[in-house]
Amino acid sequence: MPAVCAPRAALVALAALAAGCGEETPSAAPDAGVAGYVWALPPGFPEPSVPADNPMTEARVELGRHLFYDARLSGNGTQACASCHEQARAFTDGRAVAEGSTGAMHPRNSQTLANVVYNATLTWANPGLVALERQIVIPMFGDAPVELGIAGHEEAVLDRFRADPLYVDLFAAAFPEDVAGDVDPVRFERVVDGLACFLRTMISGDSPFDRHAAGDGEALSLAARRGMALFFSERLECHHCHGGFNFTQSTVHAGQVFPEQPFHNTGLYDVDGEGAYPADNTGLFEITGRPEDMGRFRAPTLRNVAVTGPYMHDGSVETLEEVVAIYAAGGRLVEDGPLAGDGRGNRYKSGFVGGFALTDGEKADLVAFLESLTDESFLTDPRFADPFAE
Amino acid sequence: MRSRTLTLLALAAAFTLVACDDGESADAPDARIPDVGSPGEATYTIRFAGQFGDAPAACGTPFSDIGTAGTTVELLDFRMYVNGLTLLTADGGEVPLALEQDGMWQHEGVALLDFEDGSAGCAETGNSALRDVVVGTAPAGDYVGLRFGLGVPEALNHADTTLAPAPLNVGSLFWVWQSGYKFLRLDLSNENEAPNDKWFVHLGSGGCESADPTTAPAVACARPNRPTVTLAEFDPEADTIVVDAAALLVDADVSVNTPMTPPGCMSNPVDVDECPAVFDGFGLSWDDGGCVDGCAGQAFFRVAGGE
Repeated sequence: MPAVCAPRAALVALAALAAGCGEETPSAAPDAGVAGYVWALPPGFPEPSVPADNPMTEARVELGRHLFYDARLSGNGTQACASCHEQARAFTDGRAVAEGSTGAMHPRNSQTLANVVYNATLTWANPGLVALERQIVIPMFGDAPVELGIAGHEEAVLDRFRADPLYVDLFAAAFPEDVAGDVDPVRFERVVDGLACFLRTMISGDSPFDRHAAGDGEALSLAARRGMALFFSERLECHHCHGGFNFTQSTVHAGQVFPEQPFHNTGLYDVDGEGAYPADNTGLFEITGRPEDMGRFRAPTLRNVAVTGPYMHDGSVETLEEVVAIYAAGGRLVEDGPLAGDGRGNRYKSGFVGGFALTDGEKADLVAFLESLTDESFLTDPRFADPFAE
Repeated sequence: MRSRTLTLLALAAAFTLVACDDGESADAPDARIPDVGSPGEATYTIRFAGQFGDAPAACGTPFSDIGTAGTTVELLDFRMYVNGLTLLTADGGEVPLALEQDGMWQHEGVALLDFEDGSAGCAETGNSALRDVVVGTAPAGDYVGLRFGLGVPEALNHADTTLAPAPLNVGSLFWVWQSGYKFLRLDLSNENEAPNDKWFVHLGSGGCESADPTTAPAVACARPNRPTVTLAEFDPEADTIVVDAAALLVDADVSVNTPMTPPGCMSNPVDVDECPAVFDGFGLSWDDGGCVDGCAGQAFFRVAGGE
C-alpha cells in the first residue's frame, strides 16, 4: 500500500521538523499536515474552507477512505458509508430513499457527496449544520432512523478496528499527536476526523461543461449548448438556486465573507391546501418551526445529476425529464393518494418557480446540458475507490 | 476560459495600478484621522438609509400604498452595489472618495449596501449582515454634493465571482459571466394569493453578447443599465442618502405580473410590461439602458438633512 506509506513517511519527517522547534510551538505537531496538503482543484475552483481543528493530511484522508468503505463501521457489521454512497453514482445509491443497516427506511434521498466540502449547509435542510464533523455523527449514531446503527455498540465497533493491524497503522499515521501523547487514536472523534478529510477530497470539476468553459470547443454537443443557454436564462431561472461553480447557491469557500445558506420550497406538495409538505419531510420547518420555512430544502449541486436519480429530497421523481416538466409547470400536482394536493399553488413556493413554456426540443436540450455535468473521471477516480477491492 | 483568462489578466493589471494609488495614501501617517478644515486626508462615512417613503426598510414589515395600484408589499431582499463615489465642491470640482479596502463590504471603488437582515421573508435569499455606509478618504474639504453610480463598473462586472474578492463574491447578486452582477436586487411580495405574490426588481446589464453564458463579453454590454446619481446638495458630514423603494416604484404597478415571465422587472426584454416604469425611476432609458439627461430624473435616491 504505497499510498499509505508515502504520506506516513512525510508526516514523520514533518513531525521531526516540528519537534526541532518544539519550544516555540509546543502544539505544532497537529498542524504539521496543513502546509503539506495540496488540494487537487479543477481550474476556477476556489480554495475550500476547512476547520482549523481538523487540518487536511494525506494520512487522515487515507484512514477516512478505508473507514468509508468498511462495513465494520456499522453496529451489526452489514453497512458502510459506501452502501448508500456509491462512487459510480456520484456517491448516491439509486434508491428513492435510503435504507439503514437494520432495515429502517430514511425519509430522504441519499445526497451526492461530490463537492461536499463546498456545501454551505449539510443534509437536505438544516441551517445549523455546517461542519462535516457534526454531520457525520448523524448516520453513525442516529436512531431516527437508524443508519449505521453504532449507538449501543460503540466499544464493539472500535474494538474491531483496534484488533486490525491495518487500522492500528492507519490511525497512528493519521494522528501521530495521539500516539505521542499516549492517547488511543482509535476513538470516534478520530473516525469522524478521518471521514471528514476523505469527504473533503471528493471534488468534481472535470465534466464536459467544465472542459467547454476551459475553452474546449468540442466538449459540448450542440444540444447541450442550447440547453446551457436555456439553463442560464432569465426565462427558466434555474441558476437563481443552482448558480455558481458548484451549481448551487448554497456554497461556501475559504474566500467568502458573507454566508449564503438558502433553502427553497419548489412546490412539490401541498397536502392540506395551506402549504403543508408530508409530515416526515417538512424541510427547514422541522428545524425552525417557522411557517414560512415549510417545504424549504437546500438546492443540491447539479454536478453529476444524470447519475444521481431518483430526484428531490424524497426521491419522488424518477427522471430528469420529469424534473424539468415539474419546474416548467411551476411545481407538481399530486392527483391522488395520501399526498394529493397542488404544489403549484403552495403558498410558500419560491418566486423563482413560476413555470415556463418549453418545446419538446428545448426540454431535450436542457436535459442534454444537465447530462454534460457528469464528470466521468470523478466516478472512476481510484483516489475515491474502495481500498479493499484492490 | 480563454476570454475569462484575458478578462482576469486585464483586471489584475487594473488592480495593480489602483494598488499603487492606495499605497501612497495609506503610507501617510495620518491618512485615516479625520481632520476636516486643515490640509490632509479625512475619512468620510457616507450614510445611506433604505426606506419605503419615510419608513425604514425592514424585513417582515408591511409597507402600504406602493406603486400605481396602491399595493401593500413586504420586503424579501434589498441589496445593491454603488461605485465611483465622488465628492463635489462648490466651485464644480470633483474629488473621488478612495474607499477603505476592508476585505468585506468594499473593493476598489465598489461598495455593497445591504438593507435586509435575512429575517422573515428575507430568509430565502438574504443573510444577517447589514450595511448602510460607504467609508473612504479624500482630501479634507468643504464638499457640497456627491455623485456615484448604482452598479458594478464594466471592468469588474464580468469577473469570475467564485474567485473575486468580497463583496463581489456574493452568489445571490451574480447572474453569469455573460451578464455579470445584479446591481440591485429589490425583491417584494405583494397582496396577491401566494405563491403568485412575488414582484422583483433585479437591475443589471443587458444585451451582453458572448459565445455563451460561461464567457464574458468581449465588448461592453449593449444596455449598461448603470444609473448615475448626482446629489447637488449633500453635506457628507451631516446628511443621509435615502434609498426610497416607494419612490422608485411610484409609476410601476407592483400588483400584477405578466404570466410566464419572471416576477417583476429583471432588466430583461421579456419584462417589457413591468420594466419601463421602473427604469423611469432610475432615470434610465428602457430602450438603450443609458441615462436620460444624466439620470437627472431618478427618484430612487434623495438627500435627507442631518440634525
